[in-house]
Amino acid sequence: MDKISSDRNTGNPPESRGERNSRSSSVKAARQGETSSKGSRGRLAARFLARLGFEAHFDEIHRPDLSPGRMWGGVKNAASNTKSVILNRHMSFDKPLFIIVIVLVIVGFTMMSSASYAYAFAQYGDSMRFIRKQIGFAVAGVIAMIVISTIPPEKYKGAASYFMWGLSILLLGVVLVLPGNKGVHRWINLGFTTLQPSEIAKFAAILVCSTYIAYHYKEINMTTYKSLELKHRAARSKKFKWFYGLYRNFQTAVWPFVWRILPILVLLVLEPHLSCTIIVLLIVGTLMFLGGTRGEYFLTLLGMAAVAIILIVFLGVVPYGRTRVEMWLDPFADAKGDGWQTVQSLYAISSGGLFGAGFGNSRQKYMYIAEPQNDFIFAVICEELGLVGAIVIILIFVAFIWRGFVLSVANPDRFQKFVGIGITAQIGYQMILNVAVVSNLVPNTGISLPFFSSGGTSLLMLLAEIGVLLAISRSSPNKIM
Amino acid sequence: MIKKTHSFITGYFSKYKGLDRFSFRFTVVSVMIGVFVAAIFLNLLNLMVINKDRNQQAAASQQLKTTSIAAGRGSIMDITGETLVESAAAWVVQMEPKVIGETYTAEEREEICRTIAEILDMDYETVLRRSNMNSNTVKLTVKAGKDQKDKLQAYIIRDVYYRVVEKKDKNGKKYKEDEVYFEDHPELNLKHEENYQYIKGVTLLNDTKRYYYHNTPIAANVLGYTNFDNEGSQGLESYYNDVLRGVDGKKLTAKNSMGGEMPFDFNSDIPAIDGNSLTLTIDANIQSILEKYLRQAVIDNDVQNRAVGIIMNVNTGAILGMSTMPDYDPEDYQTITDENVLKKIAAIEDPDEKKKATIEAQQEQWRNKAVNDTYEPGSVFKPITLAAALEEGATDMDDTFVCKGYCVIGKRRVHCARRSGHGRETLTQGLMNSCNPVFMTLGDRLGTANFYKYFKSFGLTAATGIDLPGESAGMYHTDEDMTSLDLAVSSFGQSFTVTPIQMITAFAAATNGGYLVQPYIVDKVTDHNGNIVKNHQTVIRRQVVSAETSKKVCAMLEATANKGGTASNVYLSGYRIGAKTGTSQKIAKQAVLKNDKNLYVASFCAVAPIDDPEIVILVMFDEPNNPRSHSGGTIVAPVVRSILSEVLPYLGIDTIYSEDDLRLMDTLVPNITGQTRDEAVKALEEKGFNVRVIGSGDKVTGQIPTGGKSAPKSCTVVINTDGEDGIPTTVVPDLVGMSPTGVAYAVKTKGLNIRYAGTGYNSSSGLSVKQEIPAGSVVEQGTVVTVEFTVDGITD
Repeated sequence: MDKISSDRNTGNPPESRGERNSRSSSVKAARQGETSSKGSRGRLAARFLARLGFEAHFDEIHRPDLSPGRMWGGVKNAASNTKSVILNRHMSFDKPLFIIVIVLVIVGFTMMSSASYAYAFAQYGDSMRFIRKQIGFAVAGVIAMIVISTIPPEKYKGAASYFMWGLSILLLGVVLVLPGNKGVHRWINLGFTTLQPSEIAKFAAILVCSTYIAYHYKEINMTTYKSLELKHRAARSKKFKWFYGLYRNFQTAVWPFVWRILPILVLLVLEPHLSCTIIVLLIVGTLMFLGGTRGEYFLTLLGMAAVAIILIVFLGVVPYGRTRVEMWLDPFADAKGDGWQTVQSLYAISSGGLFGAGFGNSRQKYMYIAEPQNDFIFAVICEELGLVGAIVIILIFVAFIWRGFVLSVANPDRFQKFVGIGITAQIGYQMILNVAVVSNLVPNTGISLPFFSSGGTSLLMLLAEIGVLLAISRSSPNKIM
Repeated sequence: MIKKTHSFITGYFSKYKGLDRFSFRFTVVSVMIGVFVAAIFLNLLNLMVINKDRNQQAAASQQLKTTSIAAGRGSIMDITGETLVESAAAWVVQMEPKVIGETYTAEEREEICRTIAEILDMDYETVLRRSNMNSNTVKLTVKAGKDQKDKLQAYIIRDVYYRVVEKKDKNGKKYKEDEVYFEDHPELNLKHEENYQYIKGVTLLNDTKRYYYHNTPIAANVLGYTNFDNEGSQGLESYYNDVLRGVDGKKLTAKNSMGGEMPFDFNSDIPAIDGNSLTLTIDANIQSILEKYLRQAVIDNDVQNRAVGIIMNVNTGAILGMSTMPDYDPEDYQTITDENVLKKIAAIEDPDEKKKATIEAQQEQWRNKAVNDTYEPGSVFKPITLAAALEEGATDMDDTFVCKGYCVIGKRRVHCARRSGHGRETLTQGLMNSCNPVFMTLGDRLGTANFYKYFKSFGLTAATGIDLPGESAGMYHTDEDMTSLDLAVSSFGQSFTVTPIQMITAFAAATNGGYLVQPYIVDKVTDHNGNIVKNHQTVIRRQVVSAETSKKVCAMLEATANKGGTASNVYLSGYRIGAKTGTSQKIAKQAVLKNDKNLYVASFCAVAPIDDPEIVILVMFDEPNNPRSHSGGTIVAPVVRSILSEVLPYLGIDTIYSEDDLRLMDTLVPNITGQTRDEAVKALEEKGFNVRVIGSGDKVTGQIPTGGKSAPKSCTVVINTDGEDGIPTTVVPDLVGMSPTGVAYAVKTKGLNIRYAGTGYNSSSGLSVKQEIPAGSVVEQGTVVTVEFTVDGITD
């Protein structure tokens, strides 16, 4: 059961070798599945899925064994490994990343406590409300993170990714059916807490994209197409080659992503959950970009985005879109109405000055800032800790991003590399977008600040993702300092 | 085998040609994130350091609640330290007609209004009308006292148990209402509230009220009043508003967006600085005396326009009393007190005109006419001409004049008050008679230049500079445009106008040794701790005439105030007073307006004690309507005499009595009843009384006046020695309208005694005006009858 050892994962062929083997490994695998598993219902399903384009790789390594005995063994394994994971230098996860995350959790919890108590008292008559809730989830999250870090990340590859993908689509569907709050369907009430399927959806999106990229990397990045006997002069022309390459790239690097992500995006828009939609788009875009989708498509995407902005701003296609942009350009025009949140946030930020009013001394958190414990917590941080404190906190995030990227890239397994980059990028983008919204650099989209904003399941999910990231660092043969 | 794989940096130097796609793209993503972070940093730098001020100030202004702490307005005290004006807590009572309309039925509303009207001592109809007004808030009163506030609070604020219930109105629309109980009903799950607003739509607000004390308000026109905004308006309240007001403090508190308080301590409270207090030179007692007699005089003489009285320290210019009649109540300054004016306003029908007339009348009653308004001083001005002439050597004490009853100036005859003329007279007699030709002669001798020089140096061309608002100065002829006629008329105080305060200051300068002082009314300003902020120093503006000249003027003024002088009605036994009367005819234009009847200003100015002047008093009646006389010597002098008779003893001025005075003064009659006849006669004669014995007994059984009473020394005590018959009675005759000798004879023949009062009883022109015991009363012989005399037939 020594799956922690890295020797199995180093067999990732470098790109140069695969230039001539034009057939994708996935197709090969699917064929293998087809031939070796006649009569089995599972194999039939796999064949069906393979037709649809899923990577149904049922070779030994990636097959999830969900039998109770194996699961119990896994749990025992995880428990026994947890000890060695922390103590054994060679089996250990990336310590700097772990420390950075713990610092973020502690600082985030502290600032959330300061930012939330006035609001909690005014709203619920209980200033400890958010603090009590958060601390439980923080502790549970850290434990979950360490436990998850012992699970070999290759387990998520393939079917497990699609399982997660299907689950998230199901939950997003369920949440739409459930009664919403003021027309917004985001939360599933579990009694003791609420669950945001969109958090799971983000992770699912990272997993499916990474899985696809891991199996189709060479196919995507192919530049010469020998299998095609391009005897015609026209076919050999440079223009045609460019066009054909573009067409192949669309087939291999755009369309598969589109149909994997589109159901999630549609459901998120229906919720509606604009910020999560944007984050998913950004992460998937980043993974596609790194995976090898051609630049032409990104340029096209930019053009489409421009058209969408024009439609939203000048034609008012999306309700409230226009006012949001107007409020972004001049929030003070309606400081008491639509611009209230932004204006109050800017007031708080500017009140901070260079060194801030001191911890706990924010005045804007007293009912001026909308939900100071949540989306606008960074404004409270700016007011209390000043520019210096704000920059230190952003630099901790930057350190996290740097560490996450470095250890992901260091992992030779392409799936793990992309999952690691995806998780890191998700947290990085959320931080950047949140700070940008709070300081009115981009229009207000209501996005939370990872580790800082209150929200139990969100924090738990984040720490679980970090657990995966730590597992990636642990499974990597290339340890970095 | 561990292979070297891609990493952040090594990607650049991989063994493949150029940069492989992943490494390049990964670098692009990293740089992009770096650019985003840099953009965030720059934006934060901009917001938090470079351009923070605007937002910071806006944040502070929305968070900070500045509560003004009202500074207490300073008090005003008289020279003895008695408080004349003081601020104290008061409450504003407001109604919210809309709330009342929505909450209560018509009957409930009437009940509420009735109760509130009762508590606030207001008219029920007024309260009900205001509760129906179409506005958000209506002020019922701005100055409810503490008692009223307590009662009202007990009525509107209760300790109750309540719950909110949903009800339906007649249209079926749901609304919420409080169901109030005075006792707890645990089964209803009621909320308990101690300060529950039981009567909705009535509110109380803290404020301060200005109290004008001293039994009845005094010196209203001097003090002024404070308006609704607690700002001084009129009088000292206005002139010293900045001093009295103090500086309002500020309390900074942090508030959240709902307006509640945030737990921050700013340590930046600016405490209120209470206003400073004024100590006036006015003495409340003197002021009361002045007002008492002035008010009575206005009634007695039916003064149509105004009466002004000023008492001033002749050497320092300190105002001891200043009054304008009719006055008003500063606590209720809008009510017009003059009944004549009220009648006139009531007669006006047009509402606009009525309103205008009311406002005009209010403005008129608020004026301090001693300072704000001018008049023609008339003969009271003569001592000024006299002093100027003496100073310039144009005349002297031994100078003699001949009065033909007129003087020819150019082609016109200017008459003396006595048309038949005074004949040959000395300078002193000229003043005693208030002889116009004498002063026209003096004016002529002075010439226009000199006359104007003195007119100016006596301070009659400019305001005196007294610390009261709105001081005006009169109209006069300058030396350039003064004709000989103007000069002649000006010499005896006509054809120019001055304010009463200018006149009294000039009069003081002529009698105090020649110094023109600046009159003032605020002695010192003290802060709220009692520290003196400002102490007034007497300002002597210049010496106008020499002390010698002043002495001469004083001597002549004393002569004028004594037997034979036009001012002799001021004679007060025991005190040496110098005085001058004045009666000036008001200019024709106004006379025409009032049915061709001549209108006069009667005035009187006196200085006491004349040998060492301390106070100067000026009393002026504008348009007296006394059928007996309109002359200052006749109608104003007795008022001044009455005022001085109380003020001089109050000031502790030494009395020196002449022989005659002593003879007429009261002494205690010894109780001799029960003594032997000889003993009794001896005891009475020792005291200086005459004795008339009735009967032939040996023992005294009765006496009139009775023992222990006081009686003039000149009177005859009637004693009875016959035990059985009492002292015979007699009928008191009508003693009014007779000469002093006539009265004395009538009293003596009836066996009564006389006590002389007033003035002129020792003069041939004396006239009895009042008797204490009414004519026809039957009294015992020997009873003392007080008869008041006055000097009659004065023309000045």
